[in-house]
Amino acid sequence: MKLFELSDLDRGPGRSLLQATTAMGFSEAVSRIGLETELRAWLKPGAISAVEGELPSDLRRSRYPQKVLIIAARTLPASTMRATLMARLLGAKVILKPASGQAAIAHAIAAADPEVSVRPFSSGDLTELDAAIAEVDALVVLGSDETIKEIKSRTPDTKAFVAYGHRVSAAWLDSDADAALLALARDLCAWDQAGCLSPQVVWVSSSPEAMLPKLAEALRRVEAELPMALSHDALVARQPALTYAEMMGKALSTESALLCALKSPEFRPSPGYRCLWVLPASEAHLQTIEPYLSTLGISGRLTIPLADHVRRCPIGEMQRPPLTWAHDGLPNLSPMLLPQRRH
Amino acid sequence: MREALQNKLLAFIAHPKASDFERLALEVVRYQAQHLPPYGRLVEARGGDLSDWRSAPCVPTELFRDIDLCSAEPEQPLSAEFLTSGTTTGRRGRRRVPDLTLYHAGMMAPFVAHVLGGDTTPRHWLSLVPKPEEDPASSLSHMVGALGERLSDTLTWVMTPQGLDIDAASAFIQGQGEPLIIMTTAFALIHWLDGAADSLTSLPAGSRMMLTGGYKGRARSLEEPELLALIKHGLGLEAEAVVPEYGMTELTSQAYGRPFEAPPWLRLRVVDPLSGEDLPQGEEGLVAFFDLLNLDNVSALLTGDLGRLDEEGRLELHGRAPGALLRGCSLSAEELGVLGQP
Repeated sequence: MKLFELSDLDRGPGRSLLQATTAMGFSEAVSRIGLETELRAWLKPGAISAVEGELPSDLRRSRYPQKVLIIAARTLPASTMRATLMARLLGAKVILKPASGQAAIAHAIAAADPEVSVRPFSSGDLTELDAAIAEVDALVVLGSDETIKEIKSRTPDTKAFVAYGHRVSAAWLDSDADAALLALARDLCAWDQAGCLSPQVVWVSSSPEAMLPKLAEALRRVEAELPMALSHDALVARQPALTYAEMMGKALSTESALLCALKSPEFRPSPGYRCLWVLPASEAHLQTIEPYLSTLGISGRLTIPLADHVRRCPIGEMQRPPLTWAHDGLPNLSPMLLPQRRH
Repeated sequence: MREALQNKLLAFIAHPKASDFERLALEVVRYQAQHLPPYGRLVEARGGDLSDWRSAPCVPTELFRDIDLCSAEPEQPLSAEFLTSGTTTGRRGRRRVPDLTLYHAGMMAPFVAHVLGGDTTPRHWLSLVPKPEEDPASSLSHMVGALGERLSDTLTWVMTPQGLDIDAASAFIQGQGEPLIIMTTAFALIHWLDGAADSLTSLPAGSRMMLTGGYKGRARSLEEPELLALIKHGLGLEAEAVVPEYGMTELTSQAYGRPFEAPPWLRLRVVDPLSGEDLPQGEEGLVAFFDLLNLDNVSALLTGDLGRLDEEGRLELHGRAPGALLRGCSLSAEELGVLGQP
């Protein structure tokens, strides 16, 4: 596939993709590792055929979409890349509508494959949106529930519509072994915790406060490979979390990360920028967030069942979903197929 | 101890002396560190230095959504419980107020000086803010009610549970000969002026208006010059008769004017978002307060508003600080808030 040209991040469209990613504020190391991880999933032997295996062998050509509109309202480059790859696996042309300020990502992807075109327009420009919808027979929307609802309401039933909303992820850790802590630190630092696969909280079986220095030590080792400059935005966004932790528990900062130990096991959303809530383990509290949970990274034992849409993986693999991962519980290709015509 | 401190604060309100502020502020912040355990822990975490009131750690106002920042025991009877609007995140902050004595003592002089222009003649008041009985969780409703009770001749409420009664508001101003006082939020006022354009009349000379609050997504928003022009056109009020108020649920005191001027018991600050240090006058930063009268809550507060202090220490507001640019696909705290999660 032409999109595989992106896998060389040192030249051509791959280089442009890397540059566009660093322009989003990620360090080169974070960008490179994030993109390489995604590209490795594509290139793993048998990965593509495993994805294609979800389609029935007797599928009629008429159900394949000819053109897919991908609206990347707010997402990471890896998600945009994967959505594009999936549409191209069906042989569809792709119109990519990037989020504001992220057109360079879309242009880099399009530079690798002439069947991908970029259509930047303001999210409030409904005329452009309607025109783009009219041009395609399938839509993939990556964005907030509000964005998805708005676009869905403008999409005729005759078109396939696939949506991936924003989600949260968490980790479950019943060990303070070096390997587990390093793996969690890598999950936290990947994409600077900006992805929906990034852990926002970790429930730990030992004392959260006692866990802080150990986790901080692991983070210091990972930060050397995956640096993040602490921007003004990051510090402002993290300030309430820091104050909250100082009032209700304990906070510990490393060069780039903020670890906040609390006594309450209740899930708390993280402001991002490598700010992790460290909470006492509670399966009951994990369950309260289940409807919004994308991925649970696990080290140790969990006794409760989780809904099918929740991806369970070992800690350290949270940001490395295989190509066959059922994103939000959905198959990768079949939701883009055209609805069956009634006779 | 609380009673003694409250008496000192009441004496300060009655006879404010700038030189007493420093001493009282230290007493207040030490009281809060001692009697409000989360704040005590914060002080401790930041090094425990309370040698100067400016070193008292500021608490972001948004934490009122998450923490009970009140030194009164949970079972202690309250005089009021105010809730924030929750406009930004869908989750409302809560401020318990066990005793309104300081609130009531502190609200009068600044209001009289700024909004009434020093004239305490009882007038007919019109409120476009809901009645306290209909919105007991609104600190603004409480303030308007309490001020009206003490200063007005009559107080007419036209914001009903069904919305603004535009006809009643317009009828109120017809045929009035004496100056009127209007208490309103910007969004309610615009709603009235837009909806009653044909039935408005110039207010009697000497009428004045207290204007507060943002638009909260409920009305078209206007820049201040446009709004003042609309008021002049609809009600005949000049800009100097329209007095902006800056207050918030988390605060006891209010600032008034254009730019905002604080009473002696409230210090307006503009701080560097990163260091928390006060910025020199003229530089833009985050607005912070030290409110002596927030005795039972927290006095050192950090808002999400941007502003700048002038050479006289008055505050010019520049709107909300922009949120950090979201780069990824993670569900934001705001989205979770809207979904009713913690």
